[in-house]
Amino acid sequence: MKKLIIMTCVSLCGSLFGAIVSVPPGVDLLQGAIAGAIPGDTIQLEAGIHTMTSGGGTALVDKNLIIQGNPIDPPLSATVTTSDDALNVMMTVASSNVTFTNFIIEHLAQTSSSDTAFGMSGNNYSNVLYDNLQITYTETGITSSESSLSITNNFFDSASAVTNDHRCIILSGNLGTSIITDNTFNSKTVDPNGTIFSLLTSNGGDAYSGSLAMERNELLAGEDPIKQFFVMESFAGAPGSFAFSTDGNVFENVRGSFIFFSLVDTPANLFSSMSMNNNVDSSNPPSDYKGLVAFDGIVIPPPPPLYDIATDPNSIFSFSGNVLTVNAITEPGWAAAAPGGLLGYDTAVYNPFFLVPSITTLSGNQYTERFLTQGDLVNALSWESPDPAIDSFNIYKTVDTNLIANVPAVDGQNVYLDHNQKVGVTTTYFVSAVSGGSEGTKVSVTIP
Amino acid sequence: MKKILFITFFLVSSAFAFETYVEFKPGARGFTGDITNEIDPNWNVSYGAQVGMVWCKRWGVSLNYSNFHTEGRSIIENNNLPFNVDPYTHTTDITLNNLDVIGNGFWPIGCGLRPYVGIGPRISFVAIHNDSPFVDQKVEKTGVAGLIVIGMQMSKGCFFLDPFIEYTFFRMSFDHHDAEVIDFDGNFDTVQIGLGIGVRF
Repeated sequence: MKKLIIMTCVSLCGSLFGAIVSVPPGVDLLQGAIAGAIPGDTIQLEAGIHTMTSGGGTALVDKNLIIQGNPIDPPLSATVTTSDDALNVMMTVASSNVTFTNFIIEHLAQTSSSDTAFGMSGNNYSNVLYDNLQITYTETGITSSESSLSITNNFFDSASAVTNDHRCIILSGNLGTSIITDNTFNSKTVDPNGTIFSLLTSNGGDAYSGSLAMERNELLAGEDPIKQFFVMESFAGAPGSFAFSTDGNVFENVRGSFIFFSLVDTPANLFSSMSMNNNVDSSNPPSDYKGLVAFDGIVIPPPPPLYDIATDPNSIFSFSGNVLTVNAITEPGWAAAAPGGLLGYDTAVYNPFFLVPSITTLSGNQYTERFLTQGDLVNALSWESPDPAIDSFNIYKTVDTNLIANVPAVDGQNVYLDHNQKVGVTTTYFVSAVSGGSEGTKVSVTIP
Repeated sequence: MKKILFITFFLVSSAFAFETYVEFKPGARGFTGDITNEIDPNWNVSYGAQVGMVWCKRWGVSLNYSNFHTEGRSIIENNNLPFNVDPYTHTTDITLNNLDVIGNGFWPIGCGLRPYVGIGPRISFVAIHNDSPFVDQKVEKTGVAGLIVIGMQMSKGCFFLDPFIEYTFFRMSFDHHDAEVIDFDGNFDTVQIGLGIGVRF
């Protein structure tokens, strides 16, 4: 009883608002309080240190609860902490309608590479709120899988000196409306190449749908450039199902601000829209800046081509009001897809921004190649390549699925000849440009 | 009856008053048909050899062999194309081997000069090789042509020079079966201008 004193206050309106369960400072008291709470309760952390150990296990939040510091105390007076390397996940969300607010949580283990402040068990949860927290973590602050959540007004601090892959936030899929707004991230440079503010992944096949807004977050400068502010490393989900915006963020000393990276077999047409507006990137790395937005390995799925970021009015991308210090792509092997340092891409892959254009100059003619005693009636297709980046052209005959030839692109007039035609027979051809494995719109012509 | 006897006498006596000659007849030959001339607009060397007989210094018959080889290039009809079509044409080799039997009429005018006109049939073997995979590449056929030749033998002793001009009318139809092509009649009309060198016996 001396170590475990739980003061329970039941509101007269408890049936409506749930009970408030106060948890005093101590060791492994929080887990029991959460386990004993009923849906709708508020777990209130009193000011002081709430230590967690692997003996007490993770705090499994499997019912709708509010877990908060006592609002009558000064802000962030309660600290939930562990330095137990065996306690991988301090709090595990396994329910919708969960709120964490107004306390400090810190995972200070120095050796593990999988320590997490807030984890998630299962998926498809909604209305999970992380607000006004100070999160200090060894590797990961918050992880989520295929749920909708709000991460707002938090301060993230990667305090460990351990060389880990530090990620403030890892989203593994998204469902519904999620926001990551008004957070601050204090970068430590113990492992600059492994530090990322927010990582989106499709680990385990979790899919993305709905929307995610990552807005008004601030990355404080570290001593050296860190890896990325935001990375989406793999995509899964129905085409056009995910709206994504990163607006109004402020950061510096990153090598690449928003990185989209995928393996070559993951589709990029997941996005219904991408807005990246009014961000301030004060990065000034010496020679390895990949751009405000960097694309590394995105595949443009055919058909249709996804976008031409720079010029396509129908692009799903929106870029405006961004302020950059580095107005060029300086990473070796990378190139700019737009003027300045706005958009960079890995040239070892290909230009992901290239919209394979359709052919506008296609003409069809019929002629006879006449010899002394015979003639070859030829249907001739000719067109100019719409862009120097075109690799080849597909030729279809009669129907636009009957591929009869793929001809390499040449400068000037490209020509395809279909020999040995019969007099009086009309034939329709379809021609499309091909670049980097993507195919442009097919254009038809009928001869004669 | 008197007329028959006279003609018989004339022919018999003429048969014993003939000369023979052999002649080498090189020249330059070119096609005159619109299409063939467009396929091969050049004049090319033609070689020929002829043996002949002349009766009564006025009438003659000759047997002539000639060979003509040339190389042309296919042409593009309906050429209203927005690209340079030249790279898409193909070469075509043409060989004519001709055997003629020509009846000649001579009009000696003195000083060793003997203009003549000849006319006769020609058997011509045509061999064409088209360098295109989209047509019949090998085309061969034998046909009959007609020719007329005008020249003038200029004698010095038993030798003579023979500037001549020859026109051949030669049309032939073809059926091609090895490729999906359009058949056209071949027009192999030619003009040859040459200078023969001969010797009389």
